[in-house]
Amino acid sequence: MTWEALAGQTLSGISVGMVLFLIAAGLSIIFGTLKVLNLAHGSLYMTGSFLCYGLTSLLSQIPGAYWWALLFAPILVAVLGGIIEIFLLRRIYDQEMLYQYILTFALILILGDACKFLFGVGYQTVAAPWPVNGKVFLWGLSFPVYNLFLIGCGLAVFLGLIVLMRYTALGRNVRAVTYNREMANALGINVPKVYTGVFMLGSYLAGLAGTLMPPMSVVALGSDMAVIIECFIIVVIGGLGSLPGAFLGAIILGLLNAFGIYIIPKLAVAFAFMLMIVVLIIRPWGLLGKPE
Amino acid sequence: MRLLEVQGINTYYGLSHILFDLSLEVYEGETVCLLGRNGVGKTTTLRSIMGLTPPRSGTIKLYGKEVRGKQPFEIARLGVGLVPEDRIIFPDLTVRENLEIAVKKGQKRKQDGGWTIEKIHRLFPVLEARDKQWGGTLSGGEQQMLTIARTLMGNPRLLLLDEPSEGLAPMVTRVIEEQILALKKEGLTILLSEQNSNFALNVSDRAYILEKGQIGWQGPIHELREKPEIMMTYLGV
Ligand SMILES: Nc1ncnc2c1ncn2[C@@H]1O[C@H](COP(=O)(O)OP(=O)(O)O)[C@@H](O)[C@H]1O
Ligand SMILES: [Mg+2]
Repeated sequence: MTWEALAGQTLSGISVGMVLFLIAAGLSIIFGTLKVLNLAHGSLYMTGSFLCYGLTSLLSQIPGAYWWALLFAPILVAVLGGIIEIFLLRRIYDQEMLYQYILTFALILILGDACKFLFGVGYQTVAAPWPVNGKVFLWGLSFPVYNLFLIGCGLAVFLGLIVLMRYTALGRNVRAVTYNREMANALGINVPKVYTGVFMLGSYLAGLAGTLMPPMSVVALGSDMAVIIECFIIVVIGGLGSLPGAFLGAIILGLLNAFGIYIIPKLAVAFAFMLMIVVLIIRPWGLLGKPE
Repeated sequence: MRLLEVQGINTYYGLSHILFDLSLEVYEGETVCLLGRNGVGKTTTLRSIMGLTPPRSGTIKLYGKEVRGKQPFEIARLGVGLVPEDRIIFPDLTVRENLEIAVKKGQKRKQDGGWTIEKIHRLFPVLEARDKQWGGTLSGGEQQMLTIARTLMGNPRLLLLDEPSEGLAPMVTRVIEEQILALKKEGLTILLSEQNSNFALNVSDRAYILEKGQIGWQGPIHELREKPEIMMTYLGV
């Protein structure tokens, strides 16, 4: 492996990790607050990526079409999330966990078919937009600018979420509802509204990831399942409910994928599962999670 | 003026019927206690009023307005504040955040006689010293004060106190008693549940004695003091 390849794989691993972080963070926040494991979270990501493709093609005559997509596609996914929470999930919070799995699994099928119906079964691509296309040269090596852009986005969202959760009244209410929703409710916090807000935030992050990913990958059916499995691995490695844990887990998984494919392509997928099993044995609550 | 009127409520946990046609009322400015042995339904009564375990039938009126079936946060915003028996301090909120979280939008301010952090610190000086600590690091007595203080920050007109003296050392119980008397003097209306009858007799004007989800006896506190046989029959003390 050359230095150039090493640096390139590291950068691409971390940047894919950043996108995965956005998805895993949403999954983790939703689970922490609503106690719902949203199996369809990957479908929200995929919906975001198809919306990104749809909006960029629709607006292709307008300069900066991608940036409009980046603005609107995640918002549309957040609205979709809000509709799902208010009209579907809200009915099953008091029911057995099984209903959650059936409902969110049904959503995988519905959203998957909706994407297929609207956008067809082919692969679609979206070009990296100006000014984050092309390459830069650093230390004599060349890197795609878009990867650096993704890393910037991931870091910004990570810091933004930490500030939101730790220093704002909204974050304080979310922390309280996460710890004990009954007590928060009795203190005058509109818990159903917090639930909707958190689900929309998580959906927004999935939609954002779905919009950021296409320029360095493809828009295709099936990415919903691929992504949800990777997110489960990330939150198990990092610790369910821990934002820094999701960040760390996502970088680890991104690097593992990037180098796994390089070293033993046939085992690339297995590496992630093996790491997850090791973590589960040594630290069942994850690297940065809290033991129950 | 009648602040709270509970009429014939029936409350269940799943299939088990806990409160049977229970009725009680609390007038503005009064301190009323619910006495009863462990498991008779004191907590369930307070949870019913707060909307946490809504009764299946009966009526609960605040200032004459029906609130049964409303969500807890709506009932809280109408002026009911619950201090739960298991306290439930938010451990990953600071002491100050635990207080601020109960403040509702458009709530009365200091000049209108509303509760502020400064006023809370005057009543509970220890909370000022703990201001920036995580809620999870407080001692039992401090947690009890923080729970009461947190509920006060929402400016309740009716304070529901569930076994405030439970599990506290006698010294701390006396401090809490002083604080409740201070609140009473301010004119706050209080409905509290207790097994420790001394504590309750010292602070209350009237009592309901609960037995198996029904009111067994009711009357003014001086009557309870004068007739120890009542306490003997219902509470075994
Ligand atoms: N969450 C619950 N589920 C089922 N039964 C409960 C629950 N909470 C309390 N109970 C039952 O309801 C009855 C009254 O309980 P409670 O109101 O807590 O009594 P108290 O506060 O007077 O000790 C008890 O028999 C108790 O076992
Ligand atoms: Mg009780």
